[in-house]
Amino acid sequence: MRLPIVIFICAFALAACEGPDTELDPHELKRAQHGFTALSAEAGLLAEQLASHGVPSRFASVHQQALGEESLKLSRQLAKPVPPGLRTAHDKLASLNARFQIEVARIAQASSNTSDLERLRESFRDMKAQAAALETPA
Amino acid sequence: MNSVLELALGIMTSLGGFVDISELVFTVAGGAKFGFLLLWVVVVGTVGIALYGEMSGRIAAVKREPTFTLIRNRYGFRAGLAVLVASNIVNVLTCAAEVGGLAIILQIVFDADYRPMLLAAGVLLLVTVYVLRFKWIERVFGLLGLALLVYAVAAVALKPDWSEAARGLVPRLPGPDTPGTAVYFYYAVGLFSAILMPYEIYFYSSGGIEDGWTPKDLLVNKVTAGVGFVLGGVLAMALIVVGAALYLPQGLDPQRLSSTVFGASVPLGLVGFVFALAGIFFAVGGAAVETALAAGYNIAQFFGIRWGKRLNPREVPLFTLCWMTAIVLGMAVAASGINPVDIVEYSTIFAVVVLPFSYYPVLRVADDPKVMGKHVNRPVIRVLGWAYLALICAAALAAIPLMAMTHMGQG
Repeated sequence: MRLPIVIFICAFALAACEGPDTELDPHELKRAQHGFTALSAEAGLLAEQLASHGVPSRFASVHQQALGEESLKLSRQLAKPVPPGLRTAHDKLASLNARFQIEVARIAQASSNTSDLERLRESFRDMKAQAAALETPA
Repeated sequence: MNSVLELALGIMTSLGGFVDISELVFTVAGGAKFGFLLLWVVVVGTVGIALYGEMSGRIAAVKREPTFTLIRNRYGFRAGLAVLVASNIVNVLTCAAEVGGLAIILQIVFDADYRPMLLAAGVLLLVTVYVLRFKWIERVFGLLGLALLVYAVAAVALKPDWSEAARGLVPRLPGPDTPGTAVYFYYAVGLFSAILMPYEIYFYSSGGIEDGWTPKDLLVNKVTAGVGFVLGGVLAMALIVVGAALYLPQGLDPQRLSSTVFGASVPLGLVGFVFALAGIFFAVGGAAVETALAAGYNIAQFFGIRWGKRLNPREVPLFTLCWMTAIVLGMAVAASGINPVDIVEYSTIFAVVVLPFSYYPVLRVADDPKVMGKHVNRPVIRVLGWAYLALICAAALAAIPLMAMTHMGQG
Protein backbone atom coordinates (compact mmCIF):
# COMPACT_ATOMS: atom_id res chain seq x y z
CA MET A 1 0.00 0.00 0.00
CA ARG A 2 2.92 2.37 0.80
CA LEU A 3 4.69 2.12 -2.58
CA PRO A 4 1.68 3.22 -4.67
CA ILE A 5 1.16 6.16 -2.31
CA VAL A 6 4.83 7.22 -2.67
CA ILE A 7 4.65 6.83 -6.47
CA PHE A 8 1.43 8.82 -6.55
CA ILE A 9 2.85 11.67 -4.44
CA CYS A 10 6.02 11.79 -6.60
CA ALA A 11 3.95 11.86 -9.81
CA PHE A 12 1.76 14.60 -8.35
CA ALA A 13 4.80 16.68 -7.34
CA LEU A 14 6.46 16.14 -10.71
CA ALA A 15 3.31 17.26 -12.48
CA ALA A 16 3.52 20.54 -10.59
CA CYS A 17 7.23 21.18 -11.09
CA GLU A 18 9.38 22.38 -13.92
CA GLY A 19 13.14 22.63 -14.16
CA PRO A 20 14.44 26.18 -13.64
CA ASP A 21 17.18 26.06 -16.28
CA THR A 22 15.26 24.63 -19.19
CA GLU A 23 15.05 26.78 -22.31
CA LEU A 24 11.79 28.33 -23.38
CA ASP A 25 10.29 26.12 -26.05
CA PRO A 26 7.96 27.20 -28.89
CA HIS A 27 5.01 25.54 -27.22
CA GLU A 28 5.54 27.49 -24.00
CA LEU A 29 5.84 30.71 -25.94
CA LYS A 30 2.61 29.93 -27.79
CA ARG A 31 0.93 29.26 -24.43
CA ALA A 32 2.22 32.54 -23.04
CA GLN A 33 0.96 34.32 -26.16
CA HIS A 34 -2.53 32.84 -25.72
CA GLY A 35 -2.44 33.68 -22.02
CA PHE A 36 -1.51 37.26 -22.77
CA THR A 37 -4.20 37.81 -25.42
CA ALA A 38 -6.77 36.43 -22.95
CA LEU A 39 -5.50 38.74 -20.21
CA SER A 40 -5.65 41.83 -22.44
CA ALA A 41 -9.14 40.88 -23.59
CA GLU A 42 -10.26 40.59 -19.97
CA ALA A 43 -8.68 43.89 -18.95
CA GLY A 44 -10.47 45.50 -21.90
CA LEU A 45 -13.76 43.95 -20.76
CA LEU A 46 -13.19 45.27 -17.24
CA ALA A 47 -12.68 48.81 -18.59
CA GLU A 48 -15.80 48.45 -20.73
CA GLN A 49 -17.89 47.15 -17.84
CA LEU A 50 -16.76 50.00 -15.61
CA ALA A 51 -17.67 52.54 -18.26
CA SER A 52 -21.15 51.04 -18.65
CA HIS A 53 -21.58 50.71 -14.85
CA GLY A 54 -21.96 46.93 -15.11
CA VAL A 55 -19.52 46.56 -12.20
CA PRO A 56 -18.66 49.02 -9.41
CA SER A 57 -15.22 50.61 -9.05
CA ARG A 58 -14.37 48.58 -5.92
CA PHE A 59 -14.59 45.48 -8.10
CA ALA A 60 -12.04 47.07 -10.44
CA SER A 61 -9.35 47.33 -7.77
CA VAL A 62 -9.71 43.66 -6.81
CA HIS A 63 -9.90 42.39 -10.37
CA GLN A 64 -7.06 44.56 -11.69
CA GLN A 65 -4.91 43.11 -8.90
CA ALA A 66 -5.84 39.58 -10.00
CA LEU A 67 -5.02 40.43 -13.63
CA GLY A 68 -1.73 42.01 -12.52
CA GLU A 69 -0.81 38.82 -10.64
CA GLU A 70 -1.55 36.74 -13.73
CA SER A 71 0.65 39.06 -15.75
CA LEU A 72 3.47 38.64 -13.21
CA LYS A 73 3.06 34.88 -13.51
CA LEU A 74 3.44 35.29 -17.26
CA SER A 75 6.64 37.32 -16.72
CA ARG A 76 8.05 34.43 -14.70
CA GLN A 77 7.15 31.99 -17.48
CA LEU A 78 8.96 34.20 -19.97
CA ALA A 79 12.01 34.65 -17.74
CA LYS A 80 13.78 31.58 -19.10
CA PRO A 81 16.77 31.30 -21.40
CA VAL A 82 15.46 32.01 -24.90
CA PRO A 83 16.77 30.18 -28.00
CA PRO A 84 17.67 32.54 -30.92
CA GLY A 85 14.73 31.43 -33.08
CA LEU A 86 12.21 32.65 -30.50
CA ARG A 87 14.04 35.82 -29.46
CA THR A 88 12.03 38.36 -31.52
CA ALA A 89 8.61 37.03 -30.57
CA HIS A 90 9.67 36.56 -26.95
CA ASP A 91 11.02 40.10 -26.57
CA LYS A 92 7.92 41.60 -28.13
CA LEU A 93 5.64 39.60 -25.87
CA ALA A 94 7.70 40.46 -22.78
CA SER A 95 7.55 44.15 -23.64
CA LEU A 96 3.78 43.99 -24.22
CA ASN A 97 3.43 42.25 -20.88
CA ALA A 98 5.45 44.97 -19.15
CA ARG A 99 3.23 47.62 -20.77
CA PHE A 100 0.18 45.65 -19.64
CA GLN A 101 1.33 45.70 -16.02
CA ILE A 102 1.51 49.49 -16.08
CA GLU A 103 -1.82 49.95 -17.83
CA VAL A 104 -3.78 47.42 -15.78
CA ALA A 105 -2.79 49.17 -12.55
CA ARG A 106 -4.55 52.30 -13.85
CA ILE A 107 -8.01 50.85 -14.34
CA ALA A 108 -9.40 51.44 -10.85
CA GLN A 109 -8.07 55.00 -10.78
CA ALA A 110 -9.75 55.70 -14.10
CA SER A 111 -13.05 54.14 -13.05
CA SER A 112 -14.92 57.43 -12.75
CA ASN A 113 -13.55 58.89 -15.97
CA THR A 114 -15.18 57.55 -19.13
CA SER A 115 -12.58 58.95 -21.52
CA ASP A 116 -9.69 57.45 -19.52
CA LEU A 117 -11.49 54.14 -19.49
CA GLU A 118 -12.01 54.36 -23.25
CA ARG A 119 -8.28 55.09 -23.74
CA LEU A 120 -7.34 52.11 -21.58
CA ARG A 121 -9.77 49.90 -23.45
CA GLU A 122 -8.20 50.93 -26.75
CA SER A 123 -4.75 50.25 -25.31
CA PHE A 124 -5.73 46.74 -24.20
CA ARG A 125 -7.33 46.07 -27.57
CA ASP A 126 -4.12 47.18 -29.27
CA MET A 127 -1.99 44.97 -27.01
CA LYS A 128 -4.24 42.02 -27.70
CA ALA A 129 -4.01 42.58 -31.46
CA GLN A 130 -0.23 42.93 -31.35
CA ALA A 131 0.16 39.77 -29.28
CA ALA A 132 -2.19 37.82 -31.52
CA ALA A 133 -0.23 38.91 -34.58
CA LEU A 134 3.08 37.65 -33.20
CA GLU A 135 4.48 34.84 -35.26
CA THR A 136 5.51 32.07 -32.94
CA PRO A 137 6.90 28.85 -34.44
CA ALA A 138 4.36 26.01 -34.12
CA MET B 1 -48.22 20.18 4.03
CA ASN B 2 -45.16 20.04 6.26
CA SER B 3 -43.63 17.18 4.28
CA VAL B 4 -44.23 19.02 0.99
CA LEU B 5 -42.45 22.03 2.45
CA GLU B 6 -39.61 19.79 3.66
CA LEU B 7 -39.29 18.30 0.18
CA ALA B 8 -39.27 21.72 -1.49
CA LEU B 9 -36.67 23.00 0.97
CA GLY B 10 -34.58 19.87 0.46
CA ILE B 11 -34.64 20.30 -3.32
CA MET B 12 -33.83 24.00 -3.12
CA THR B 13 -31.00 23.52 -0.65
CA SER B 14 -29.39 20.77 -2.72
CA LEU B 15 -29.81 22.93 -5.84
CA GLY B 16 -28.35 25.98 -4.09
CA GLY B 17 -25.54 23.89 -2.60
CA PHE B 18 -24.69 22.05 -5.82
CA VAL B 19 -22.27 24.57 -7.27
CA ASP B 20 -18.99 25.26 -5.50
CA ILE B 21 -15.77 26.98 -6.56
CA SER B 22 -14.55 23.91 -8.48
CA GLU B 23 -17.70 23.78 -10.59
CA LEU B 24 -17.62 27.53 -11.17
CA VAL B 25 -14.06 27.27 -12.42
CA PHE B 26 -14.35 24.16 -14.56
CA THR B 27 -17.73 25.01 -16.10
CA VAL B 28 -17.07 28.63 -17.09
CA ALA B 29 -13.46 27.95 -18.15
CA GLY B 30 -14.55 24.79 -19.99
CA GLY B 31 -17.19 26.75 -21.89
CA ALA B 32 -14.65 29.48 -22.66
CA LYS B 33 -12.22 26.94 -24.13
CA PHE B 34 -14.51 24.41 -25.80
CA GLY B 35 -17.87 26.10 -26.26
CA PHE B 36 -20.75 23.71 -25.66
CA LEU B 37 -18.65 20.58 -26.18
CA LEU B 38 -18.45 19.72 -22.47
CA LEU B 39 -22.20 19.87 -21.74
CA TRP B 40 -22.45 16.07 -21.92
CA VAL B 41 -19.98 15.78 -19.04
CA VAL B 42 -22.42 17.65 -16.79
CA VAL B 43 -25.18 15.20 -17.73
CA VAL B 44 -22.94 12.20 -17.02
CA GLY B 45 -21.60 13.70 -13.77
CA THR B 46 -25.03 14.77 -12.51
CA VAL B 47 -26.54 11.31 -13.04
CA GLY B 48 -23.52 9.91 -11.16
CA ILE B 49 -23.83 12.19 -8.13
CA ALA B 50 -27.62 11.68 -8.01
CA LEU B 51 -27.11 7.92 -8.18
CA TYR B 52 -24.45 7.68 -5.48
CA GLY B 53 -26.06 10.43 -3.38
CA GLU B 54 -29.31 8.49 -3.33
CA MET B 55 -27.48 5.25 -2.42
CA SER B 56 -25.53 6.86 0.44
CA GLY B 57 -28.69 8.58 1.72
CA ARG B 58 -30.60 5.28 1.54
CA ILE B 59 -27.89 3.51 3.55
CA ALA B 60 -27.99 6.35 6.10
CA ALA B 61 -31.77 6.07 6.38
CA VAL B 62 -31.95 2.27 6.54
CA LYS B 63 -28.75 1.32 8.40
CA ARG B 64 -27.85 4.69 9.94
CA GLU B 65 -24.32 4.14 8.66
CA PRO B 66 -22.46 7.08 7.14
CA THR B 67 -19.87 6.74 4.37
CA PHE B 68 -16.72 6.60 6.47
CA THR B 69 -18.08 3.84 8.67
CA LEU B 70 -18.62 1.88 5.44
CA ILE B 71 -15.09 2.68 4.28
CA ARG B 72 -13.59 1.46 7.56
CA ASN B 73 -15.70 -1.70 7.49
CA ARG B 74 -14.86 -2.44 3.86
CA TYR B 75 -11.11 -1.75 3.81
CA GLY B 76 -10.06 -2.40 7.41
CA PHE B 77 -8.03 -0.04 9.56
CA ARG B 78 -4.77 0.41 7.59
CA ALA B 79 -6.14 0.83 4.07
CA GLY B 80 -9.12 2.73 5.46
CA LEU B 81 -6.75 5.12 7.20
CA ALA B 82 -5.01 5.81 3.87
CA VAL B 83 -8.39 6.67 2.33
CA LEU B 84 -9.18 8.87 5.35
CA VAL B 85 -5.88 10.79 5.04
CA ALA B 86 -6.26 11.24 1.26
CA SER B 87 -9.92 12.29 1.60
CA ASN B 88 -9.15 14.81 4.28
CA ILE B 89 -6.25 16.29 2.30
CA VAL B 90 -8.77 16.86 -0.50
CA ASN B 91 -11.29 18.26 2.02
CA VAL B 92 -8.79 20.72 3.48
CA LEU B 93 -7.51 21.79 0.05
CA THR B 94 -11.06 22.30 -1.17
CA CYS B 95 -11.91 24.15 2.04
CA ALA B 96 -8.83 26.36 1.47
CA ALA B 97 -10.00 27.21 -2.04
CA GLU B 98 -13.53 27.97 -0.81
CA VAL B 99 -12.31 30.15 2.09
CA GLY B 100 -9.96 31.94 -0.33
CA GLY B 101 -12.92 32.47 -2.67
CA LEU B 102 -15.00 33.81 0.18
CA ALA B 103 -12.18 36.24 1.04
CA ILE B 104 -12.12 37.50 -2.57
CA ILE B 105 -15.85 38.23 -2.44
CA LEU B 106 -15.42 40.07 0.90
CA GLN B 107 -12.52 41.98 -0.69
CA ILE B 108 -14.83 43.16 -3.47
CA VAL B 109 -17.62 44.08 -1.05
CA PHE B 110 -15.44 45.96 1.47
CA ASP B 111 -12.68 47.15 -0.90
CA ALA B 112 -10.08 45.75 1.50
CA ASP B 113 -6.87 43.70 1.37
CA TYR B 114 -6.98 39.94 0.86
CA ARG B 115 -5.35 38.77 4.13
CA PRO B 116 -7.68 40.63 6.57
CA MET B 117 -10.64 39.45 4.52
CA LEU B 118 -9.33 35.89 4.67
CA LEU B 119 -9.22 36.16 8.44
CA ALA B 120 -12.73 37.63 8.43
CA ALA B 121 -13.97 34.80 6.19
CA GLY B 122 -12.46 32.16 8.47
CA VAL B 123 -13.86 33.71 11.63
CA LEU B 124 -17.26 34.12 9.97
CA LEU B 125 -17.30 30.44 9.05
CA LEU B 126 -16.17 29.29 12.50
CA VAL B 127 -18.82 31.37 14.25
CA THR B 128 -21.59 30.48 11.78
CA VAL B 129 -20.98 26.73 11.97
CA TYR B 130 -20.57 26.85 15.75
CA VAL B 131 -23.75 28.82 16.36
CA LEU B 132 -26.16 27.53 13.71
CA ARG B 133 -27.90 24.20 13.95
CA PHE B 134 -27.36 21.71 11.11
CA LYS B 135 -30.72 22.37 9.45
CA TRP B 136 -30.10 26.11 9.45
CA ILE B 137 -26.59 25.74 8.06
CA GLU B 138 -28.06 23.77 5.16
CA ARG B 139 -30.88 26.23 4.63
CA VAL B 140 -28.98 29.50 5.00
CA PHE B 141 -26.22 28.58 2.56
CA GLY B 142 -28.33 26.40 0.27
CA LEU B 143 -31.25 28.80 -0.12
CA LEU B 144 -29.19 31.99 -0.42
CA GLY B 145 -26.89 30.16 -2.86
CA LEU B 146 -29.92 30.08 -5.16
CA ALA B 147 -28.89 33.61 -6.17
CA LEU B 148 -26.55 31.76 -8.54
CA LEU B 149 -29.61 31.11 -10.69
CA VAL B 150 -28.75 34.53 -12.11
CA TYR B 151 -26.37 32.59 -14.38
CA ALA B 152 -29.31 30.66 -15.80
CA VAL B 153 -31.01 33.99 -16.59
CA ALA B 154 -27.71 35.29 -18.02
CA ALA B 155 -27.36 32.19 -20.20
CA VAL B 156 -30.76 32.90 -21.77
CA ALA B 157 -30.07 36.66 -22.03
CA LEU B 158 -26.85 35.97 -23.96
CA LYS B 159 -28.98 34.36 -26.71
CA PRO B 160 -26.71 31.40 -27.42
CA ASP B 161 -27.15 29.13 -30.42
CA TRP B 162 -29.40 26.59 -28.71
CA SER B 163 -29.15 24.02 -31.49
CA GLU B 164 -25.36 24.10 -31.17
CA ALA B 165 -25.77 23.83 -27.39
CA ALA B 166 -28.01 20.77 -27.83
CA ARG B 167 -25.27 19.15 -29.93
CA GLY B 168 -22.97 19.54 -26.92
CA LEU B 169 -25.10 16.97 -25.09
CA VAL B 170 -23.63 14.30 -27.35
CA PRO B 171 -19.96 13.48 -26.70
CA ARG B 172 -17.63 14.38 -29.59
CA LEU B 173 -14.00 15.30 -29.94
CA PRO B 174 -12.98 18.96 -30.24
CA GLY B 175 -12.14 20.53 -33.61
CA PRO B 176 -8.73 21.88 -34.70
CA ASP B 177 -9.55 25.45 -33.58
CA THR B 178 -9.69 24.39 -29.89
CA PRO B 179 -6.83 24.02 -27.36
CA GLY B 180 -6.50 20.30 -28.20
CA THR B 181 -7.76 16.85 -27.31
CA ALA B 182 -5.62 16.39 -24.17
CA VAL B 183 -6.85 19.71 -22.71
CA TYR B 184 -10.41 18.70 -23.62
CA PHE B 185 -10.07 15.47 -21.66
CA TYR B 186 -8.39 17.31 -18.77
CA TYR B 187 -11.45 19.59 -18.54
CA ALA B 188 -13.83 16.65 -18.97
CA VAL B 189 -12.17 14.77 -16.08
CA GLY B 190 -11.94 17.96 -13.98
CA LEU B 191 -15.60 18.79 -14.52
CA PHE B 192 -16.68 15.21 -13.84
CA SER B 193 -14.67 15.23 -10.61
CA ALA B 194 -15.97 18.68 -9.61
CA ILE B 195 -19.54 17.37 -9.85
CA LEU B 196 -18.77 14.13 -8.00
CA MET B 197 -16.46 15.66 -5.34
CA PRO B 198 -16.30 13.03 -2.55
CA TYR B 199 -17.08 15.53 0.22
CA GLU B 200 -20.60 15.86 -1.20
CA ILE B 201 -21.27 12.18 -0.48
CA TYR B 202 -19.66 12.34 3.00
CA PHE B 203 -21.75 15.41 3.82
CA TYR B 204 -24.95 14.11 2.26
CA SER B 205 -24.94 10.76 4.06
CA SER B 206 -23.89 12.30 7.38
CA GLY B 207 -26.57 14.97 6.85
CA GLY B 208 -29.19 12.25 6.48
CA ILE B 209 -28.19 10.93 9.89
CA GLU B 210 -28.07 14.46 11.36
CA ASP B 211 -31.63 14.96 10.09
CA GLY B 212 -32.67 11.68 11.72
CA TRP B 213 -33.68 9.95 8.48
CA THR B 214 -35.42 6.58 8.80
CA PRO B 215 -36.78 4.28 6.05
CA LYS B 216 -39.86 6.55 6.08
CA ASP B 217 -37.67 9.31 4.64
CA LEU B 218 -36.55 7.34 1.60
CA LEU B 219 -38.86 9.36 -0.65
CA VAL B 220 -37.32 12.61 0.65
CA ASN B 221 -33.89 11.13 -0.09
CA LYS B 222 -34.89 10.03 -3.58
CA VAL B 223 -36.47 13.37 -4.49
CA THR B 224 -33.68 15.46 -2.94
CA ALA B 225 -30.93 13.48 -4.67
CA GLY B 226 -32.85 13.11 -7.92
CA VAL B 227 -34.56 16.45 -8.47
CA GLY B 228 -32.18 18.64 -6.41
CA PHE B 229 -28.98 17.37 -8.00
CA VAL B 230 -30.51 17.33 -11.49
CA LEU B 231 -31.57 20.99 -11.15
CA GLY B 232 -28.04 21.69 -9.88
CA GLY B 233 -26.76 20.06 -13.05
CA VAL B 234 -28.95 22.41 -15.11
CA LEU B 235 -27.30 25.35 -13.30
CA ALA B 236 -23.85 23.90 -14.10
CA MET B 237 -24.92 23.67 -17.75
CA ALA B 238 -25.99 27.32 -17.65
CA LEU B 239 -22.47 28.20 -16.49
CA ILE B 240 -20.98 26.34 -19.47
CA VAL B 241 -23.39 28.14 -21.80
CA VAL B 242 -22.28 31.48 -20.31
CA GLY B 243 -18.64 30.48 -20.85
CA ALA B 244 -19.38 29.49 -24.44
CA ALA B 245 -21.57 32.45 -25.37
CA LEU B 246 -19.66 35.24 -23.61
CA TYR B 247 -16.05 34.29 -22.87
CA LEU B 248 -15.20 32.17 -25.92
CA PRO B 249 -16.07 34.76 -28.62
CA GLN B 250 -13.99 37.40 -26.79
CA GLY B 251 -11.01 35.08 -26.30
CA LEU B 252 -11.20 35.26 -22.48
CA ASP B 253 -9.75 32.59 -20.22
CA PRO B 254 -11.51 32.96 -16.85
CA GLN B 255 -8.86 31.58 -14.49
CA ARG B 256 -9.81 33.82 -11.56
CA LEU B 257 -12.91 33.72 -9.40
CA SER B 258 -13.59 37.41 -10.03
CA SER B 259 -13.62 36.73 -13.79
CA THR B 260 -16.76 34.62 -13.44
CA VAL B 261 -18.72 37.68 -12.29
CA PHE B 262 -18.66 39.10 -15.84
CA GLY B 263 -20.86 36.19 -16.86
CA ALA B 264 -23.77 37.88 -15.07
CA SER B 265 -22.74 41.55 -15.25
CA VAL B 266 -22.29 41.74 -19.04
CA PRO B 267 -25.79 40.55 -20.00
CA LEU B 268 -27.67 41.82 -16.90
CA GLY B 269 -25.71 44.85 -15.66
CA LEU B 270 -25.24 45.82 -12.02
CA VAL B 271 -28.22 43.71 -10.87
CA GLY B 272 -26.57 40.65 -12.40
CA PHE B 273 -23.31 41.59 -10.71
CA VAL B 274 -24.96 41.83 -7.27
CA PHE B 275 -26.79 38.52 -7.65
CA ALA B 276 -23.65 36.78 -8.94
CA LEU B 277 -21.60 38.08 -6.03
CA ALA B 278 -24.25 37.03 -3.48
CA GLY B 279 -24.68 33.63 -5.12
CA ILE B 280 -20.96 32.95 -5.22
CA PHE B 281 -20.60 34.09 -1.60
CA PHE B 282 -23.21 31.68 -0.28
CA ALA B 283 -22.37 28.81 -2.64
CA VAL B 284 -18.67 29.02 -1.86
CA GLY B 285 -19.34 29.63 1.86
CA GLY B 286 -21.69 26.64 1.95
CA ALA B 287 -19.09 24.44 0.29
CA ALA B 288 -16.44 25.62 2.80
CA VAL B 289 -18.77 24.57 5.62
CA GLU B 290 -19.53 21.23 3.94
CA THR B 291 -15.84 20.40 3.39
CA ALA B 292 -14.90 21.34 6.96
CA LEU B 293 -17.78 19.35 8.44
CA ALA B 294 -17.00 16.46 6.08
CA ALA B 295 -13.42 16.41 7.42
CA GLY B 296 -14.82 16.23 10.97
CA TYR B 297 -17.42 13.59 10.06
CA ASN B 298 -14.79 11.43 8.35
CA ILE B 299 -12.41 11.39 11.31
CA ALA B 300 -15.15 10.87 13.89
CA GLN B 301 -16.86 8.12 11.91
CA PHE B 302 -13.59 6.33 11.16
CA PHE B 303 -12.43 6.27 14.78
CA GLY B 304 -15.91 5.71 16.20
CA ILE B 305 -15.97 9.04 18.03
CA ARG B 306 -19.35 10.59 18.87
CA TRP B 307 -20.26 13.15 16.25
CA GLY B 308 -23.07 15.42 15.06
CA LYS B 309 -23.69 19.05 14.42
CA ARG B 310 -27.14 18.54 15.94
CA LEU B 311 -25.44 17.96 19.29
CA ASN B 312 -24.05 20.59 21.62
CA PRO B 313 -20.34 21.17 20.79
CA ARG B 314 -19.50 20.34 24.42
CA GLU B 315 -21.00 16.86 23.92
CA VAL B 316 -18.82 16.25 20.83
CA PRO B 317 -15.55 18.10 21.58
CA LEU B 318 -13.28 16.04 19.29
CA PHE B 319 -15.65 16.30 16.34
CA THR B 320 -15.94 20.05 16.93
CA LEU B 321 -12.15 20.35 17.13
CA CYS B 322 -11.78 18.44 13.84
CA TRP B 323 -14.06 20.66 11.74
CA MET B 324 -12.63 23.79 13.34
CA THR B 325 -9.10 22.58 12.54
CA ALA B 326 -10.14 21.97 8.93
CA ILE B 327 -11.27 25.61 8.62
CA VAL B 328 -8.10 26.92 10.28
CA LEU B 329 -5.89 24.72 8.05
CA GLY B 330 -7.87 25.89 5.03
CA MET B 331 -7.23 29.50 6.04
CA ALA B 332 -3.51 28.74 6.46
CA VAL B 333 -3.27 27.23 2.97
CA ALA B 334 -5.22 30.13 1.46
CA ALA B 335 -2.99 32.62 3.33
CA SER B 336 0.01 31.33 1.36
CA GLY B 337 -1.23 33.62 -1.41
CA ILE B 338 -1.85 30.85 -3.96
CA ASN B 339 -4.76 31.72 -6.25
CA PRO B 340 -7.80 29.79 -4.91
CA VAL B 341 -8.50 28.69 -8.46
CA ASP B 342 -5.09 27.01 -8.64
CA ILE B 343 -5.74 25.30 -5.28
CA VAL B 344 -9.11 24.07 -6.46
CA GLU B 345 -7.64 22.63 -9.65
CA TYR B 346 -5.23 20.55 -7.59
CA SER B 347 -7.91 19.48 -5.13
CA THR B 348 -10.36 18.56 -7.89
CA ILE B 349 -7.83 16.46 -9.77
CA PHE B 350 -6.60 14.87 -6.53
CA ALA B 351 -10.23 14.20 -5.57
CA VAL B 352 -10.89 12.11 -8.65
CA VAL B 353 -8.13 9.73 -7.49
CA VAL B 354 -9.89 9.35 -4.11
CA LEU B 355 -13.33 8.91 -5.69
CA PRO B 356 -13.26 5.14 -6.40
CA PHE B 357 -12.17 4.38 -2.82
CA SER B 358 -15.04 6.44 -1.42
CA TYR B 359 -17.75 5.29 -3.82
CA TYR B 360 -16.97 1.55 -3.95
CA PRO B 361 -18.04 0.76 -0.34
CA VAL B 362 -21.27 2.73 -0.86
CA LEU B 363 -22.09 0.65 -3.94
CA ARG B 364 -21.20 -2.63 -2.25
CA VAL B 365 -23.39 -1.98 0.79
CA ALA B 366 -26.32 -0.61 -1.23
CA ASP B 367 -26.03 -3.74 -3.39
CA ASP B 368 -26.03 -6.18 -0.49
CA PRO B 369 -29.50 -7.68 0.20
CA LYS B 370 -28.32 -9.06 3.56
CA VAL B 371 -27.60 -5.55 4.76
CA MET B 372 -30.24 -3.52 2.94
CA GLY B 373 -33.10 -6.07 2.86
CA LYS B 374 -35.96 -4.83 0.68
CA HIS B 375 -34.17 -1.52 0.20
CA VAL B 376 -31.33 -3.11 -1.80
CA ASN B 377 -30.41 -1.57 -5.19
CA ARG B 378 -32.83 -2.33 -8.00
CA PRO B 379 -31.20 -4.08 -11.00
CA VAL B 380 -31.08 -0.90 -13.09
CA ILE B 381 -29.41 1.02 -10.25
CA ARG B 382 -26.96 -1.83 -9.74
CA VAL B 383 -25.94 -1.84 -13.42
CA LEU B 384 -25.67 1.96 -13.50
CA GLY B 385 -23.73 1.97 -10.23
CA TRP B 386 -21.10 -0.46 -11.55
CA ALA B 387 -20.91 1.34 -14.90
CA TYR B 388 -20.26 4.59 -13.04
CA LEU B 389 -17.66 2.99 -10.82
CA ALA B 390 -15.81 1.83 -13.97
CA LEU B 391 -16.05 5.38 -15.36
CA ILE B 392 -14.79 6.85 -12.08
CA CYS B 393 -11.83 4.43 -12.09
CA ALA B 394 -10.98 5.40 -15.69
CA ALA B 395 -11.12 9.10 -14.74
CA ALA B 396 -8.96 8.42 -11.66
CA LEU B 397 -6.30 6.71 -13.78
CA ALA B 398 -6.32 9.47 -16.41
CA ALA B 399 -6.41 12.49 -14.06
CA ILE B 400 -2.75 12.89 -13.05
CA PRO B 401 -1.23 12.10 -16.49
CA LEU B 402 -3.65 14.58 -18.09
CA MET B 403 -2.72 17.25 -15.54
CA ALA B 404 0.99 16.75 -16.29
CA MET B 405 0.53 16.58 -20.07
CA THR B 406 -1.57 19.73 -20.30
CA HIS B 407 0.19 21.85 -17.64
CA MET B 408 -3.06 21.96 -15.67
CA GLY B 409 -5.21 22.57 -18.71
CA GLN B 410 -3.04 25.28 -20.26
CA GLY B 411 -2.18 23.12 -23.28
